[in-house]
Amino acid sequence: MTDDAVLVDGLRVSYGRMHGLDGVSLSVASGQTLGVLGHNGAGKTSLIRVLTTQVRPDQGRVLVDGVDVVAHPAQVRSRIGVTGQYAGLDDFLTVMENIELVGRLAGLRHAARRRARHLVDQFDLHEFDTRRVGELSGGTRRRVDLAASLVAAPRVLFLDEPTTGLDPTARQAVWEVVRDLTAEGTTVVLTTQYLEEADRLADQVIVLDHGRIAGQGTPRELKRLVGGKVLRATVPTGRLSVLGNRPHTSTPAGWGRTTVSYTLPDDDATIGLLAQLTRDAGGLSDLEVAAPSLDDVFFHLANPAPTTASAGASA
Amino acid sequence: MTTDSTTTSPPLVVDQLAILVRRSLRTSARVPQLLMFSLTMPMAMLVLFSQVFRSVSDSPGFPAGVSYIDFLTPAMLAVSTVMAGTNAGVAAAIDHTNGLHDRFSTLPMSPRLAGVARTINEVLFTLVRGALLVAAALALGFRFHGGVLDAVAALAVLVTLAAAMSALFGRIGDRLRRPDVVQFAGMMIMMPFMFVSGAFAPLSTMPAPMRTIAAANPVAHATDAIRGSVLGTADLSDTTIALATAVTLWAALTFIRRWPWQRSARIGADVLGDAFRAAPEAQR
Repeated sequence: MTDDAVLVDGLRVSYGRMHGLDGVSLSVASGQTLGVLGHNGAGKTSLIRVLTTQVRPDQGRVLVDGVDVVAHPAQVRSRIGVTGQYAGLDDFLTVMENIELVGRLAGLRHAARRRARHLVDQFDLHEFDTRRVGELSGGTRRRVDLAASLVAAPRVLFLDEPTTGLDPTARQAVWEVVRDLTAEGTTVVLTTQYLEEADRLADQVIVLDHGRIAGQGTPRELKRLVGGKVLRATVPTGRLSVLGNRPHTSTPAGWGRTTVSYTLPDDDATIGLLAQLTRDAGGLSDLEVAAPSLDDVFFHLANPAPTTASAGASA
Repeated sequence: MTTDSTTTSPPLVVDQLAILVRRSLRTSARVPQLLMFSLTMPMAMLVLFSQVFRSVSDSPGFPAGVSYIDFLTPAMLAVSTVMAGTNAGVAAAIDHTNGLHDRFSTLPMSPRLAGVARTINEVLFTLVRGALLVAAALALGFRFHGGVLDAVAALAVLVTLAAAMSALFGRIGDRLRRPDVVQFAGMMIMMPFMFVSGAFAPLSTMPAPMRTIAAANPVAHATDAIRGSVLGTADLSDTTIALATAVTLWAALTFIRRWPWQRSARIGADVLGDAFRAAPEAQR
């Protein structure tokens, strides 16, 4: 047994000749929240599918709540809750029936109904409890799905992009639930494309890129990795080729202009780059100098550029 | 948020199966249109076929002294069971599209239980459908010429055929994962099952290659066995072959998820992997 709720060591998963995950190692202490960031196809869902006993790893050791996922999948399944990218619900059953179904299958027996009622109250689903799930909006379905994942009071909860496609209000509601759960001691592993989500919820963050860990640490540590400042500006697209420094990101801004962003180690470097851009770019607009966000970390680690001084991955 | 005290105990396979059967029945009942068409279409087909094809009984290969309705009713019992098997395939595909298949695979239950529950659901509906079909046939002049043992044998053959067809189409649904595709694929697959058999015309009237294929067709064996029971001419071998064919097909499709040399990408889904072992493993 180990104190870590999740322990992954040297995990490899491949699909034919493609690597889903390539040598991933991580750990999550009990009661902590791990945020897993990455582009589409970076390996986030593969990681969740291995941790939730759905995909067999090619190599590596994976323990959830101290139990090996390959050797004892049923034991692991009795300790986890999972909310996938798409709600796993029966459209023809009501909200209460769906939550109760999952509870009974997990072994709750007669307590399943009481527990389902409790979750309906907790998730503010009273007005829908006798409605069929197929009649509900996407946000409400997601709340029902999350409630179903929690019905057997799992020790470790896996959330695979739980707020993708939700409106801001529904997203806030899910965040509140996750915060309450971690306050009660539940360990949460959360994949997301929303950096704000990881920033708000996660104690630790890993950034996956092409199946490998490109960076890991607390949100604050990762932001420090990027450097002290982030400079964003919109420049004429035709001048990009003559700019000495290669930007970390460049996004078309319309009307023949492109928004570029640079991560920089300190104020001196920022002032130097600003002077250079003012001279070479032929007209700056929307200039912004700020402390790095997790967005900057993400783009920095996923697209490392040699021009920034303090960049580095800790995989 | 407050914590609600929750006690889970290792789930028992029989409890989980009962829960899943109840869920399948409830889901079926909530689509009354599908239920109504599924139960009554065989009756409509029986009425239609008994009138349109009744001249078949005048053909040279047709058994002497047998009315066409007595010949047709056992065939319709078998054929309607094959047709209804696609319901299990569509139900399996819907579980994929609505994410329930993934949900089940993260719960402490055997990956085979949902399929077994669908089979039980399908067997129950087969019994209801069969009763309605026989009632309609009686109104058209059908008579059962066998004894009590013949009736029991016919019922056993029908039930095992329903299980085999449900398992077959359930696997197709698991593979294709889209209800609309399953319905079309189901049509393709059920055609040879239905027509390369003695269901609508005696096998002796068909070319030799068809008769060879029919020898491996569980629906052909089921039709022959049920017809033998109905006419009171069945011998033990007819029933035994029909039961053995259907049970073998059901067991192979239910328990063998991969061939022995294949390695599953899913944990616990290898050949006879953790079938029905969920409960003991869940003990802590």
